[in-house]
Amino acid sequence: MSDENLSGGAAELARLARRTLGHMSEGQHARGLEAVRGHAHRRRAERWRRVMAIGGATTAVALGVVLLAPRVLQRMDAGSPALALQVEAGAIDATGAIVPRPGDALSQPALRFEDGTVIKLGNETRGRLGKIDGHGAEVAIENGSAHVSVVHKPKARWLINAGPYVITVHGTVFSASWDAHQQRLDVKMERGLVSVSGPVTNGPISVRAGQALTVKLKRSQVLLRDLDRDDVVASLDADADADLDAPSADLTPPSVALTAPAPAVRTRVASLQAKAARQPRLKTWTAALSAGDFDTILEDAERDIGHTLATRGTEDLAALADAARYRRHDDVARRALLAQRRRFAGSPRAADAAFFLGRLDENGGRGHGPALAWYEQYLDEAPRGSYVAEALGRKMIAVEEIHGAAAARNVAEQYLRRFPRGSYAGAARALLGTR
Amino acid sequence: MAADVRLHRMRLVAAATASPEEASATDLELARALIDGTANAAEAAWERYSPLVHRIVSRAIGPDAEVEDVTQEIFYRLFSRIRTLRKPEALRSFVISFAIRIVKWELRRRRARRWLTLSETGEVPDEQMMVMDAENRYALRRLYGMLDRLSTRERLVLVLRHVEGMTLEEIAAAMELSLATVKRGLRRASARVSQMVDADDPKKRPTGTAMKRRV
Repeated sequence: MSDENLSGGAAELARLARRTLGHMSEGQHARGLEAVRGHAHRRRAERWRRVMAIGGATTAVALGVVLLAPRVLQRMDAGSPALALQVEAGAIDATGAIVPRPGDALSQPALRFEDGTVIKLGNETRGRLGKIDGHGAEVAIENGSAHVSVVHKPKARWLINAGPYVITVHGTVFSASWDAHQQRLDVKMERGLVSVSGPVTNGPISVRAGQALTVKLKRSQVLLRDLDRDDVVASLDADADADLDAPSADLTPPSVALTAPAPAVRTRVASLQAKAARQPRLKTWTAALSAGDFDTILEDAERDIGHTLATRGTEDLAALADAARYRRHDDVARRALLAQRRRFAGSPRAADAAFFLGRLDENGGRGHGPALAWYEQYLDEAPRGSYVAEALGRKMIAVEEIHGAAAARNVAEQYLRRFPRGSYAGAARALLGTR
Repeated sequence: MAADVRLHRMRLVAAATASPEEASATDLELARALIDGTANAAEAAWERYSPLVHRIVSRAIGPDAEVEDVTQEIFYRLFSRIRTLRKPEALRSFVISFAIRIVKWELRRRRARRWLTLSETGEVPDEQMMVMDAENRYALRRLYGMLDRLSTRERLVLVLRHVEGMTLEEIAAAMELSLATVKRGLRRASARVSQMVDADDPKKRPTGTAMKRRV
């Protein structure tokens, strides 16, 4: 072994690389062996894919140009002016609090933005307007409810903070409520898609049209339900506040219990699954995911998981990862997320996958070290991504666990600068000793 | 059945290989089995060469979750191109040369990806990186960040020589370059990396900087 041409420092680094890199773990060896065994079966499909790759490469170049152009434009557009805002039946005070019209405590303030987005607070709701920029705003529900109607725009970025939960909005209509006393979150979707993340959710949960999510923080319970058609219509027609006064009483039986389902819930889950089995098979995994039919996705995928991960598109891999996370098939979720990163590197979904991998590592007992590496990766790749607040918060916790409170203070400061009212703001202040 | 027994025996021999002659003998058998498409030949090739290929890939690319996939990819391609092997007894050299060629493509692909995505590094932490302590993790990131600034050829020559410990002649054969080109590339790469390391020595920075960067 010769280091004669390297300086002392460089030779030291080379020795470190030699010492620490290149050892194949048993898991890697076993996975490779399995892949090699299945290789012969996939040879024919591979040959076909190679032919397609020539066409794909051309498309990829065109796609690259299409993808790159908006990114460059987005950078140029970063300094666009904040959305104009009109407050109906109320006002925003100097601290950002949304207050009812003076002398009319029962009025329901509504924020009407210039892009057509409307956020209407319920009766006696304590709300607060956070950041506002050219692409959206951040609104906090400290206690009470709100009806949110966000107009879908390509660059739009809306965040609703309901108590300790962050609802990332992708263009949609929904109602959200946070009961500070009961520590209960309810999200009821009318149209579109939102992601909800926060304590006990085990990573962001996608809630789609026709679904309702309830999180009971005190009981560590997360319920994702299907809504009846009538229920959705009722919520569309009825006053949002009346609907939210009894957030879960009028909802249909839960279709999925994500955490510690009670026996009664399990029975209802079974009946719903039987009902799903009688229905014709859904065409796409995205549709199956929307319908809460996670088992269909997992069954399809696990028939030939290697082939699935190698051939399915980015949307299907995301749906598979979600379904597997919800059903706690962590190994499948992990493989789907790694495939997403490998095959669609550089895409927003690949970046999101880094965050989910961190959550899986953290919850799956792999420890804070691996999770920290994934959170850092996500923050590098998606500095303005949907899960930045959550990733930065989790990073802070992981750094504290691994390197101690002193090292975590730096991250806590960073967190508070960006998310002064975020879910981890309390923990960050505690670290800094400012609470 | 006879082929299976032969391959099983070959694996046992491979596991206890003592001399280059024996290794060469099993290489010859394994290469022929692969060319003939004998059942389990691919499996035997994986058992025999995956640690070597994984090591080369891991050290050339750096700490990255894709190392595992690139390793598998090398074997897939190797199996489909095995018929181009002229000297079956030189299977080991063929595997190394093949691995290095694919690593070279992978590094070039990453360079293009970094360029296309402007600021993204495209790096993903791998299993080993995750269990490493923060200081080593940072040091390795630093080293591979510097290697990213070299040309693909210079990077490979440097890694194969200083990390993998191959001789200059072995590197020349594996990379299909002349000895003079390898020497020239190594000299240039070593000088550049040494210069970058010395200029970026954390010990020369004010106290606390290293911690901030790690966090």
